[in-house]
Amino acid sequence: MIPHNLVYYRPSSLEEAVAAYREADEAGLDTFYYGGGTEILTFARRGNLKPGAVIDIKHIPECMALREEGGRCLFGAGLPLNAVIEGGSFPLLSRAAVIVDHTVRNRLSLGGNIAGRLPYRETVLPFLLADAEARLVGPDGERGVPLREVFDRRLKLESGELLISLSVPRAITETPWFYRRRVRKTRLDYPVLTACFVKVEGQIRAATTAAFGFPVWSPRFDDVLNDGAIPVSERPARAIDAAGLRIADNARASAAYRRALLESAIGEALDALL
Amino acid sequence: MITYREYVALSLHINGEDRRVVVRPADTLLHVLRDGLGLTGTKVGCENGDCGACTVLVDGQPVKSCMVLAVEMEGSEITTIEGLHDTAIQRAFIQENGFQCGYCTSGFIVNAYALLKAHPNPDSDTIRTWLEGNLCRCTGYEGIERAVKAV
Amino acid sequence: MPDVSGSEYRYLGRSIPRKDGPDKVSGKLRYADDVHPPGCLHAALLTSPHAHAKILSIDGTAAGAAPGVRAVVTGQDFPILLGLYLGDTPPLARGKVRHFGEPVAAVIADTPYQARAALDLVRVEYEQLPVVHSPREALASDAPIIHEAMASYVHIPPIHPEPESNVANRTRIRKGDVDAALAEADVVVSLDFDFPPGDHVAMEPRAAIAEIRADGTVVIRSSTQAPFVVRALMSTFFGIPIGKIVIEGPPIGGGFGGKAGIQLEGLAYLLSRSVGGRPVRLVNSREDDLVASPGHIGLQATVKLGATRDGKLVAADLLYLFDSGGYADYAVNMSRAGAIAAPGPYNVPNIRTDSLCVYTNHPFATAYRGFGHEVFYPVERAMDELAAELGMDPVVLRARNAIRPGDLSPTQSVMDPNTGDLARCLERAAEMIGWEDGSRIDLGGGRVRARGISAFWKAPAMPTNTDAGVVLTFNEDGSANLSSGIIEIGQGTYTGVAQIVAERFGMSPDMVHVSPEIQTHRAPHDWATAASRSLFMVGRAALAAADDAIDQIKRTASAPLRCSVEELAVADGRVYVRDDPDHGLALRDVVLGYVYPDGNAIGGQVIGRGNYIARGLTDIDAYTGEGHPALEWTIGAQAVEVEVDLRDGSYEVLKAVCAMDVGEVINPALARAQVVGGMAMSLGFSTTEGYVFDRRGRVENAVLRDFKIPRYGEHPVYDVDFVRTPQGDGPYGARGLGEQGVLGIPGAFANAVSRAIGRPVNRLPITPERIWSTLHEDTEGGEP
Ligand SMILES: Cc1cc2nc3c(=O)[nH]c(=O)nc-3n(C[C@H](O)[C@H](O)[C@H](O)COP(=O)(O)OP(=O)(O)OC[C@H]3O[C@@H](n4cnc5c(N)ncnc54)[C@H](O)[C@@H]3O)c2cc1C
Ligand code: FES
Ligand code: FES
Repeated sequence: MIPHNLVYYRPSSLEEAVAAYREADEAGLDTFYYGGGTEILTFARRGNLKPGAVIDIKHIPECMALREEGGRCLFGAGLPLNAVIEGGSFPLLSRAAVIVDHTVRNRLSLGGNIAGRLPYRETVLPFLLADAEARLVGPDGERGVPLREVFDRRLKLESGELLISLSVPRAITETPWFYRRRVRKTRLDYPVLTACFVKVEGQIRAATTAAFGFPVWSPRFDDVLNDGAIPVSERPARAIDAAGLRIADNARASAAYRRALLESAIGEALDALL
Repeated sequence: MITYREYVALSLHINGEDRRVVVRPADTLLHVLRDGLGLTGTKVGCENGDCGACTVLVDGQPVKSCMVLAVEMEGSEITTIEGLHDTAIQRAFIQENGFQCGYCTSGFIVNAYALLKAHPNPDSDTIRTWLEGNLCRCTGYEGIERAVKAV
Repeated sequence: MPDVSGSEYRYLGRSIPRKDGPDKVSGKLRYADDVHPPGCLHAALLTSPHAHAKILSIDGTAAGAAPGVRAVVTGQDFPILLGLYLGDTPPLARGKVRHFGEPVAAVIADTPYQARAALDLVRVEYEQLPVVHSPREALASDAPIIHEAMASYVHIPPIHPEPESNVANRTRIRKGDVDAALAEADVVVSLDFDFPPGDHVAMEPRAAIAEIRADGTVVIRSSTQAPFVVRALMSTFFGIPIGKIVIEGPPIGGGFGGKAGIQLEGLAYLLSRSVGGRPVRLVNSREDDLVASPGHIGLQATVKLGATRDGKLVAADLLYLFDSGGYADYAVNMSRAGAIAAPGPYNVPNIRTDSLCVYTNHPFATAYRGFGHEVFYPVERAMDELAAELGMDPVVLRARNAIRPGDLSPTQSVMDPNTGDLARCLERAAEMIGWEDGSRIDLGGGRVRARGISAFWKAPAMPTNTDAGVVLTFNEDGSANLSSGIIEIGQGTYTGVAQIVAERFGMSPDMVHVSPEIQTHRAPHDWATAASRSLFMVGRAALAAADDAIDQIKRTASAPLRCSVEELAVADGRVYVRDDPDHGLALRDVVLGYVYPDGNAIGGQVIGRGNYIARGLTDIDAYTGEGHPALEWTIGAQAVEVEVDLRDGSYEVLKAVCAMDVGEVINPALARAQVVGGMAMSLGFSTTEGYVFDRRGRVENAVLRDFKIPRYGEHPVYDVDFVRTPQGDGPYGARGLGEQGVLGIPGAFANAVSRAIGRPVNRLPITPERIWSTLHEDTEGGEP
């Protein structure tokens, strides 16, 4: 039950969405684009968020697109994760989107997972590795940017900006990949560690989340993984050190345990991909 | 563009019937089903997406009704436990002792019903994928597993 | 499930489908919160963000002025203390808060969301106090005192609170001479254990809807396992004449003990009183249910066992520190029940048990399936360490010490001939788990499979005068209506009791109707639907009621049939002459009085009455524990198989089995379901559950997303078998089995993991990280 009432907008085009945002914002309402709504409702019911207005993006065709065009695979930000998984055009993404449970995945959206407050943002990992382009629209119009330019730990949107879709080159979706997700005990839980790996043109790329508390893709990390001068067995530990980030340490898992799991995941990935 | 403020006289299509109900835009579907429409077969276990007691079908797909707003449901076909009558999965739950206290049962049956529509002969992995979002504290899931596999 | 017994019976021993099935699978069964009285107001609770703090001020003015709000109340409005055995609990915190999540204020409003929204406007100022994080800390000489006014608390005589300390109760068992026996023992093991408090997580959050009628009658619809306990306590604490209190008990969505005390009812009544008696609905959010309402008790323990070289136990020296949390509730009796049962179903000549119920600043504890019998987990772990020391098979060690008829229980009462057969249970459990194939198998690649075993027993922990009653009335078609005071909590007792009556009448259980709800002013008195005693005691009362009804039927029928009462029999919906079965009457022509063809009527309606009261139970001695507190012991053994990955500690529970001596089995499928459900719950508590506290005693996982209970697909293969040493005085020889399934699992599971990794794991829950860190400790053995 959501204690505080809110205004609900259902635009059917990007222009309407941006207009709705402007209207609600000018009325002084705390306004949110609304994908699956699972995070907004979870926070709102406990009073951690008091949305004054929500803008449901699920009736905007661009946000619900799932297609291939011009050698790229495109994923609308409003798509529920089950649609992304069943779409199947990007196997690593289909794997990484297996979070929460099947029923929630019928609503929980790709964009919400990437733009949300919860720090895991697991579905962004494959995009970080795949030279993704993000399409955004806001008060200043639409733009397309490399995802890595607008994603640093979290998605850096301008005020009132909406993530429309993400696209990746078809070729990268076909490269070899490796995936590991570890939990405290129950599979249906936030991760203690999620790691994605791809091999593009002979080079391994890695992205992780939860291990360092948020999604991380680091060129220094990748450099160690691919450094022929370092014995393979030493690369996991060296790569983690090279990232230069503190490993998360909380009730879900200690830093020491996370580190052990991460080292073993990297080791397995190197075995699989080298 | 549709905009709803304050109160909304909403039309919902539920269990094959058209129902009109006044809601706040902030009301979850769960709240409206139970308190607005008297469909109390859908249960409240957490209101947080974690237990599945509130599962209903939206256009045939299982959805946790505590995690959607009622205003999102316009134009969708909603099926609650009250919309299922003597189906094979309901009979199997009785036959195989798929419940004890029965509080989780509506959610499990609705979800399992959709599962069996989508996958008439699901393997164990598929069953787990679909059903792991529903919690049961009484049965240890043994009878539930038997019931789904018996259909 | 094949029918495994009952060849001599027509309906007993058969897995007939449950009576509540059709309503449950169609969503039509109405639980407490599915029905609201017209004009019902809605309450919401503001809870404490601190574990231990002084309340400096509460200001509800702004909340009171919010839209739809009818009242804002705080602890100051209700200067009384409630409690089951020990009156220590204010309905809303007064002066200070003693645990995270403790309710400090309530808002009553026209709608649930208005009540919830207004909570934000209640201003509370706290001053934080030092936090007591564990029972061991609570006993330190400089520990903060959590209940300063304990000396003034009212309590029942068998409870022994110790004012100026944090000890709410202390139970002593003294049998033989432990010090001498330990000094002479060939082998002694001593170990420390602990597990955190947690929660029942019944899927239905607690609910109470109260109103006060114009004539002063208080009506409360509640998700309760114990409507008569609630009624009695409401009368005592609020001075309401008991006949003016009506508790409505609909079926509940899981109880597990968590709904067996007085929970929301007292507060709901006070809230209704604050708004002139209008109906007020007080329903827990899941978060409130997790920490504001009571949960599962925590435990710290030190266990010392002594044995001879050939494996005979000579002494058990046991210290149990139960973590009651901020209030005592059932915990003062659970610590006592645990002491009575420790060390388990073994013949140990010398026992010294000190079992303390200790206040801490954790969310408080109440009854939980097993009721204090968590005491076996430390003992059973220690038994495995003892077996290792002795170089003896753990199954053999346990069987060698099995308690038998004629042995003395820990409270020194003589075990009667009904005593279950532990040796047989151990043998069956070992067979089912595949013990003979070796209890530890190295699968290579860092993977190990291992098995662990554990014994257990339990008697109902209940007042010495616990009773039950059944009334049978009849309908025009000859069918019967069964009325009792028990609540359908999921255990299927309504079906089981109907089977018992059906058996006696020789008629189909379909002809025995049981209403899904009870009301205390209509139903026969009953102590509570708890302690696994329902089927035993209500079953006995049902038999008596059936016999009473049958006598009346025969008396009425004897006139038109022109024979003596002794010559008649009842079966198949008829009363007939035993030697001439064709000569008889349909029950439908007798149960509401027999009418002769000329219109004359005789006999009147049949009303069968039956009751049962526990016999010969005594309280135990405060200094030695001597006494006869146990009605019937249900004994059994459980075993668990795990597969552990030694590299990272991840594991899977592959199989869990239970062999239990339950006497006769009334309904095999329901019995098995109860046992499996218990095992599942216990596996949850052993593997993932329990509160996680931060440094200030706040619960970090007070939301179901983070409080992990087992999910579909994580369940192992279960196997259950029943051994049948009849319970002479049980209904058709049956004993209770509703709780026993939980008892041996923690020990068996911890033993399996410990064997797999070659090191003792003595803290629960056993997560992969705990296994990993145990393996990576430099020091041999001990836990961090
Ligand atoms: C039961 C459960 C379990 C979960 N477990 C996990 C897990 O294991 N791993 C994990 O990573 N996450 C998990 N999550 C949470 C998840 O990360 C986010 O809460 C969820 O993905 C949000 O998706 P949504 O579509 O429901 O978002 P919404 O609630 O719709 O939105 C979330 C936020 O993102 C913003 N937003 C949404 N869409 C857009 C868009 N297109 N453009 C710009 N901003 C947008 C919203 O304004 C809001 O601030 C879980 C959630 C639930 C309910
Ligand atoms: S009530 Fe909706 S998932 Fe629990
Ligand atoms: S039957 Fe009680 S929770 Fe599933």
